[in-house]
Amino acid sequence: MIQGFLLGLANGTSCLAFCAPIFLPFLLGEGRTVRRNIPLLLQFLAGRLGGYLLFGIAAWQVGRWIQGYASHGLFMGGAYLVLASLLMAYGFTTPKTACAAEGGRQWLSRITARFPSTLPVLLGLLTGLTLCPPFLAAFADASSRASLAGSLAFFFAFFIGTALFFVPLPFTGFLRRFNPVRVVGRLACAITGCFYLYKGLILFYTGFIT
Amino acid sequence: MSDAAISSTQVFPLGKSPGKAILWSLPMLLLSLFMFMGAAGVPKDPLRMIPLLITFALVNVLFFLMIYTGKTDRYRAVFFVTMSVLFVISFMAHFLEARGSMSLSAGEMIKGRTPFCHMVIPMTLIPAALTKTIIFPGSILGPYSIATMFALWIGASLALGRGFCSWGCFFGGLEDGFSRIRRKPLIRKISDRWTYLPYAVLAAVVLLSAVLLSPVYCEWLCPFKTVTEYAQVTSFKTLVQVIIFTSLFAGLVVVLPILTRRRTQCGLFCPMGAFQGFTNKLNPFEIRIDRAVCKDCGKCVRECPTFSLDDAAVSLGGTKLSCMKCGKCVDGCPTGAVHYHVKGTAVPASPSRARMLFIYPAFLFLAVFGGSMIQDGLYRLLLLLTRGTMIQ
Amino acid sequence: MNVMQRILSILGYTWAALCLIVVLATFIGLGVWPKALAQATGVKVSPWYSGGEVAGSMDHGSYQTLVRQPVFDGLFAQRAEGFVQVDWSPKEHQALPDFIDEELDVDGNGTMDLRIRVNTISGATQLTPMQAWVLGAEKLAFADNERILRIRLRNWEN
Repeated sequence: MIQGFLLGLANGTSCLAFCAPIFLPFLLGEGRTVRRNIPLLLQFLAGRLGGYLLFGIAAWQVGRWIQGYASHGLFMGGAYLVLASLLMAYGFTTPKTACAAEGGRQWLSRITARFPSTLPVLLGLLTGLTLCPPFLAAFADASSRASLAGSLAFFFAFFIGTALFFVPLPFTGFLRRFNPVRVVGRLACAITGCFYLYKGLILFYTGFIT
Repeated sequence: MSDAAISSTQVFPLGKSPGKAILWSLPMLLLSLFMFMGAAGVPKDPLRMIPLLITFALVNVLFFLMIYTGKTDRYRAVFFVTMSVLFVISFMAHFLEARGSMSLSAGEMIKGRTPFCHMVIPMTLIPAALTKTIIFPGSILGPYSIATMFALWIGASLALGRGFCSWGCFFGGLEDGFSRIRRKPLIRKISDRWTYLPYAVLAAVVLLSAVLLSPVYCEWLCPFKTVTEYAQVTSFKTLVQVIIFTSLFAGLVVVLPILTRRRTQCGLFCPMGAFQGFTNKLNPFEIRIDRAVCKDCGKCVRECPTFSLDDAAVSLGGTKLSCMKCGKCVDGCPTGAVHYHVKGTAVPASPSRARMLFIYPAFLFLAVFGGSMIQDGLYRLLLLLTRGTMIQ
Repeated sequence: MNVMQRILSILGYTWAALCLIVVLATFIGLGVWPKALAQATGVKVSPWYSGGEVAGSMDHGSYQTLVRQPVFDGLFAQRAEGFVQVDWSPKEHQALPDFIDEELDVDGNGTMDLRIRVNTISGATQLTPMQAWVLGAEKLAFADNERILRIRLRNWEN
């Protein structure tokens, strides 16, 4: 576990750098206070942890086979496409309470009204799966563990090591006093989503033809 | 006193006196003489001499008219648009001369021959701070180099703030020109939400560029690649990039400015413009509105090319951070309420003095920075007329 | 106008007047400022674009082969994948041969890591990896009389 934690500490800045283009605009777009950003961060990290533990189980079960599969274009491309769709849907919609009369247009608002944690958890899960090169590097270590508990413990410790670097992010709540920050955050999510849409399409297509 | 008289008094208290206008323009004449001809003198080759003299005359005639009429924007725009058009001609000619093509090969990029423009600056800052490297395939020193553009940008930011976008940016003149084609706009209303898009583009490209260590805006989103250089189309990725550039240029630089009579690329998309807005905080000049005189007619809100004025800003007596200090609102205000202002002074405190203090450094920057582009562009056109080719 | 307002006013006008000096200084000093800025900051072009520093060279008579430092630079830490750039540069008044066939040691440990065959006219390349971390080659780049190739690598230290 110490090894996993140290690996997480060593790679935490990279994890933060790769997640920042997604999570930072999302935090700004939500326009919450510093205190209310903390649950959002925890939900995002929970999503990442969920992804890590799932992979921890998979790594122990099937060893290196899953690593090859995980880096396969179809899987990664699909994950990028889902991430991009979420970001673009979040970014291009105006935040308001979903109304039954709106029909399908406010599907994201309806889901998030009923299950408020959906979006940050999903974002955490998808960024953990797609954008985290240190995570994939840790995978190789975890797949060599002797037991499932060992593999899970390794990934949990790695996760804690990387999560420490996310602690300052809720302080972006100080920016909420600037009214446009919310709009800027949402639009930035949408733009980042467009970029990952292209990446996802290329990966998916490459995975499809190989 | 009539509104027109108030307007005239506030912007030019000396009255319409040609003699006084010449006196006030004289320093610009001397400064431009020094800057244009100081070191090298007048070239002997007529093909070089004629553009120099035309540029010199243009600078000083326009500045004189600016002083004499008290109007800023229309004369600024003449020089600004001319600069942008001739910059494109000059740039294309240089590229064709050096490489035979507007496209940049991978080898050229590796050799550091990609010209560096100011649009890249925001994306380079985080990687430069953390890795001490510039994420751009250019050269640190030399013509069109990274350090030269940074030096120019720092000087412009300190002196003009976001005024750089109206008095320096060699791309802005293209849409400034297109925005003046129609007399009346066809599209009048654009949602306020889109005026925040430049900041979103800035946030997205800065973060993505830092992570990917490549200038994302230049690679994917810059409309001006259409009229400057671009990577050779050798793959699906570069084909998609070219389609995006040309679409953005057609939409944001040509069509929307014509339809809206606004600078839509600058006001609704450009991340460099959004970044440059923050330099307005470092700059002593701003546009202010004298609430005692303002009639809330909304003309300035309708005319502002970059959506920097809205009812809320007018009621507070100022502009948004995105103000480019082009002077269009100042020229158009029927009561003279809108004026240039120096921070720290009262509102209004001698608008004509504030205006004069602003247009001197602004026009000088435009004249020297843009003057070289105009000269070379005219030279290329003369080459075309006399020798049938723009290439030396 | 009280004293404070007067002082602010004077400071404001002084700051405004200095802007003209700033513009003049910018252009007059354009031969000096860029060099000073470059020296003060010590920045270089990112190796992802420049190809990195030269690690070693081989003299082949009419041309030389320059092998650069492998590039894995990330924002905070090294990346999992990168490249090594190889330049083939003819000597003065010479030309590159039509075909180049070389084995190269990329990591500087004395063992050959890959074999590369290059057609310097057509740009065709054939890479034979000798290590698992040699992934593939990009298109051959033409720059003046030189030929430049980037070979993708997995970071063997990760």
